Amino acid sequence: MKPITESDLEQLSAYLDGELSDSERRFFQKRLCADPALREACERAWLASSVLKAQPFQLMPAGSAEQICAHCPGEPQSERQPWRWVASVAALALVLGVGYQLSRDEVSQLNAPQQARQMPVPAVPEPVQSAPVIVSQTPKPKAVASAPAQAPEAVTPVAAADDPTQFVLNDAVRSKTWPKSNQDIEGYLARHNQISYAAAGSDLITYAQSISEPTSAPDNRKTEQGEK
Amino acid sequence: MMRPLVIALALLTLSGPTRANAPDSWIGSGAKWVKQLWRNDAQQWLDRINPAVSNHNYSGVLVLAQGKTIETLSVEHTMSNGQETLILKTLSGSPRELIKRGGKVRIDALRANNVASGQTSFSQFANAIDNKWYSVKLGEKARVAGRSVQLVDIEAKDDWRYSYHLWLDEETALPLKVVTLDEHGTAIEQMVFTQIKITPVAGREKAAKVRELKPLDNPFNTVKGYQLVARQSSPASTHYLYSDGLTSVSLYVEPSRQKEKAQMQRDPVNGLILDNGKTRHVVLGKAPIATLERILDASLN
Repeated sequence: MKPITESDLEQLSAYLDGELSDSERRFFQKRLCADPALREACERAWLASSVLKAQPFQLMPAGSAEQICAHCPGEPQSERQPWRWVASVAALALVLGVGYQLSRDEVSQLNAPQQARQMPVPAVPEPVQSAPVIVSQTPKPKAVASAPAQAPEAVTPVAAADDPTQFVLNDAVRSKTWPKSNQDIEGYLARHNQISYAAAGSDLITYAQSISEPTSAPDNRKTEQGEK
Repeated sequence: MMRPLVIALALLTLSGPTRANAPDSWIGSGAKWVKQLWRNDAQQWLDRINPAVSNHNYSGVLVLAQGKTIETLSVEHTMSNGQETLILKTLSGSPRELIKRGGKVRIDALRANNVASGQTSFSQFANAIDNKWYSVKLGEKARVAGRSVQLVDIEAKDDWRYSYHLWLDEETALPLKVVTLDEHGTAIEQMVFTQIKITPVAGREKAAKVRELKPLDNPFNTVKGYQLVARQSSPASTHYLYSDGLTSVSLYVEPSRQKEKAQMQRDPVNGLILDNGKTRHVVLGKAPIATLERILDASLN
């Protein structure tokens, strides 16, 4: 279970206020079904919202803040104990000294194996994907005759495009479910597994999958791999 | 009274970094002890996985649960003179058998031989510590198939990929349980040994090589760490394989005369198809549907 993020709370707020579009609302409802923490947060927010909405709006009397502050006790005066100050400095020095030594050793030890073992795929620093590249949030079924007319293209804000929860799901693509018995799908899956084995190696899970699922015979296509 | 003692302690500490280099100094021993507590144990556990697979024979019963489907299989894995033999047999449903021997995989139901890609390994997990899209940490100890295991959490740092929980045998570091979690933290795939017998291989076998994939030139925009690592071309289809180091997604681009739009989900595998009457784009893999939509979108732009 993932912790609830700021963006989740924003979307939750928009959901409660009825500000989500149909597809966003449906997606959010699916998330609510699958995420107990989000559901709990939603229930709390809904309860708080209901309670607040039921209360009459009332301004606090002027000067109430000062009155509250006047009732707060002041900070207790600490006794003057100079040895405590010295002990704190000594403890800090101890921590800094040991920490410095450990970090120096740790870095020198960790660097060697990390240099030898290059990162598999993200080894080449990937440029941060510029979110506004996604001009339309949905795949463009331009040539599909039955596809709805394209809405004017809107530039997606950076935060929204980078956050999958903000990604507008493509209802057009979702309109049809792929039948499990479709031989094409079996072929695509078999080819996916085959090229994955060849490129990245295989484990027990992939082998177990290959005999627990119906698969079609692999083909003999020319493969270009990026193995070092 | 305490003041001189405290000052002496502080001075002694400040001189520590130079003195700690001496191996037999008391502060050096102390530093080693503290370092033991702070070391990255998760990395050490992951490093042990592939040597464990190569240096142990094991046999047992494996349960694979994907969505609502549960399959029970018998597993027999032996290493002899660097040659791996792996025999998997289904114990539920229709009888099927997979035999991997001498670099070839044979699946009885298919009556076909495939060239295997080296030793059976968990290379993708062994590399997880260096993967910037995931964070790795140690979890609690537990028990699987009657053996003590250590949980290693491989958590996706964003919602564009799945997370994994590995339970590694404390004695050998063999993965006895692997759970795949979707972007909402729901278990979508589980592999667990319910019975296992592990014996060390006589002599020392060479561990499976950890595969390092070099990204290829991607004709489309790269989506959130999924880099192009393999390409397969034929007149009928071009197949692109994208990987973030742990999981992979396939994109097929091929000519078509149909018009079709569809989405599928088969347990942990998601898929999308977009057929415009001229070109068919198919995206599938063990990744969130939003990731597949981004990859499809990138291929269309």
